[in-house]
Amino acid sequence: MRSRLEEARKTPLFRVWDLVLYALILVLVVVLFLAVGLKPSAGKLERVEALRDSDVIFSYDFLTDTYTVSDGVEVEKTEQGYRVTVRTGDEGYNVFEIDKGGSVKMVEANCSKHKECVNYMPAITDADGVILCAPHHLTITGGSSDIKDPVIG
Amino acid sequence: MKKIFTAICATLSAVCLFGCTPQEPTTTLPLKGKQYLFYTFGVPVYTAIYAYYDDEAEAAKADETVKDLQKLFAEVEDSLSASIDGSSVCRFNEAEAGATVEIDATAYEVLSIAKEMYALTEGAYNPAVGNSVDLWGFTPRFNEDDYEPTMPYDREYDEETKFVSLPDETYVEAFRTLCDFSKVEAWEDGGKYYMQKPEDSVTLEGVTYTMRLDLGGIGKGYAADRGAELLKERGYTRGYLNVGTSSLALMESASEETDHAWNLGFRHPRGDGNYISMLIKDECVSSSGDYENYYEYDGTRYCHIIDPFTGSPIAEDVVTATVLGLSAAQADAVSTALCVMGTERAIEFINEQLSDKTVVFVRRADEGKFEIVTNAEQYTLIEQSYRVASRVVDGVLEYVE
Repeated sequence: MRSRLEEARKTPLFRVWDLVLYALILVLVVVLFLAVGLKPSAGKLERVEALRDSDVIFSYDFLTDTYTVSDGVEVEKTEQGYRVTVRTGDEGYNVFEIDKGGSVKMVEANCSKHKECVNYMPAITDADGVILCAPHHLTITGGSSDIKDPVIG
Repeated sequence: MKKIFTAICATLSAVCLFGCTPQEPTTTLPLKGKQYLFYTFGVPVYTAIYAYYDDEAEAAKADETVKDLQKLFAEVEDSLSASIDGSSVCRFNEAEAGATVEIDATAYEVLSIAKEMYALTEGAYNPAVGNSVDLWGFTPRFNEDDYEPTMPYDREYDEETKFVSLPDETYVEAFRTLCDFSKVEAWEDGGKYYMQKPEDSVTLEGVTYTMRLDLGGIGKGYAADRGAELLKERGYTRGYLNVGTSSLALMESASEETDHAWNLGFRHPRGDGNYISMLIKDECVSSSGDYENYYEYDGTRYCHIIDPFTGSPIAEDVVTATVLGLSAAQADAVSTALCVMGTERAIEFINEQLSDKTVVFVRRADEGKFEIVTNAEQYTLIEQSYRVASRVVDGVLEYVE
């Protein structure tokens, strides 16, 4: 009994390989925390869609650099990305530009005298961004269809 | 000791992996929310629906419901729009003085609501201001890309100031006399509906003018009410319908933290963002304001809300009003009326007719400051520079100097 007690007292609390194992577990805990807790925001701009009312007529994927188009939509390659023209009826049009760096902006339209979609709506830079052109029933969106709290007024 | 230490590290790993994910409340709910957008009356309509989107049939049903909403709104617009040829309102407006015009059931129903609200507000809500709205430059034709003056009273347009002068006073007064909405008669006969145009007319510069209706102040609210009925018929209890952010039909939200109420923001009338917010569910809300469509001339703001008693845009007193607790159509009309009434009469009216409803309005006070007047009991003030200038004592709303 005494020799076993003496032996236990002499045995170190942690052996080298124990310490290595515990260190690896701690590192794993920290890495998991950083990887999950600092995951990029869900709002990052990864795609852009153009809709006429609720129908998707154009979509572009930033990650794969591919797009799909419907009738009435023309796409032109530019230095920064793409220039997309959407025709409405016989004479209506909207032009928006996609910068592959991660933004979309309406640059031309003949929707109205004040061209709110061109002059007053900021570029889309995240998934929640949206540009509306009411006269042409056109919406450009960063792809999010999450429900947000409503605003009145 | 080693076993305990190992167990602690393993537990920490599991907690970090499964417990530290970013909060995404919707993933824990059986229902999922989706927001749709389409356009009507020249404005965006946001439809938020909670449904079982993971089930193919339920997802298809929700998408189909939104398509049906779109058709419903298009029918309402085709009936009420003053700028769509062949609509009931357009045919009334184009008819001669004293003419009888056949209208559709939608127009008849909206007209009935309009007459009720005209009487309730003692004429402060008045849809017979169509001539004045056009005179002051607020009908859709002025916003067309290829706008050209076509009427004798059209003013020269300037990109910076919008108009280089104010309307001729002769026209302002003449069109004011064509606003007696009490003279409009509407009736049903053998399943058909009719309206009779008043005999009133004025002739200026060789052109004869008669009454013209503008149902913009009630049409969106009516569409919101009809849309809300459709959503409920299809079994949806969570979501909302927001017509151009001026008329809103709220159901429940998905948030248990707020007891399924939405955190409704009230748009700032002079800046970005919201000026207050309220937790609201299962209510209709409508709002009017002088910031939606306006221009400034010689330092004065002229907005699209016409005071039927003067024939001119409202003075800068009540700059925005929001009404909760009525139907969206009624609230649409009453919120317009409150802007016309001005602070003193608006408070009287709220105490006489709306004491059991929730009303908020913002008024312009001295030195360009703005104040909130409300009978709401609970809200969150966001715009800290706005003074809350009211209190409710024994159920009576009072202005506080």
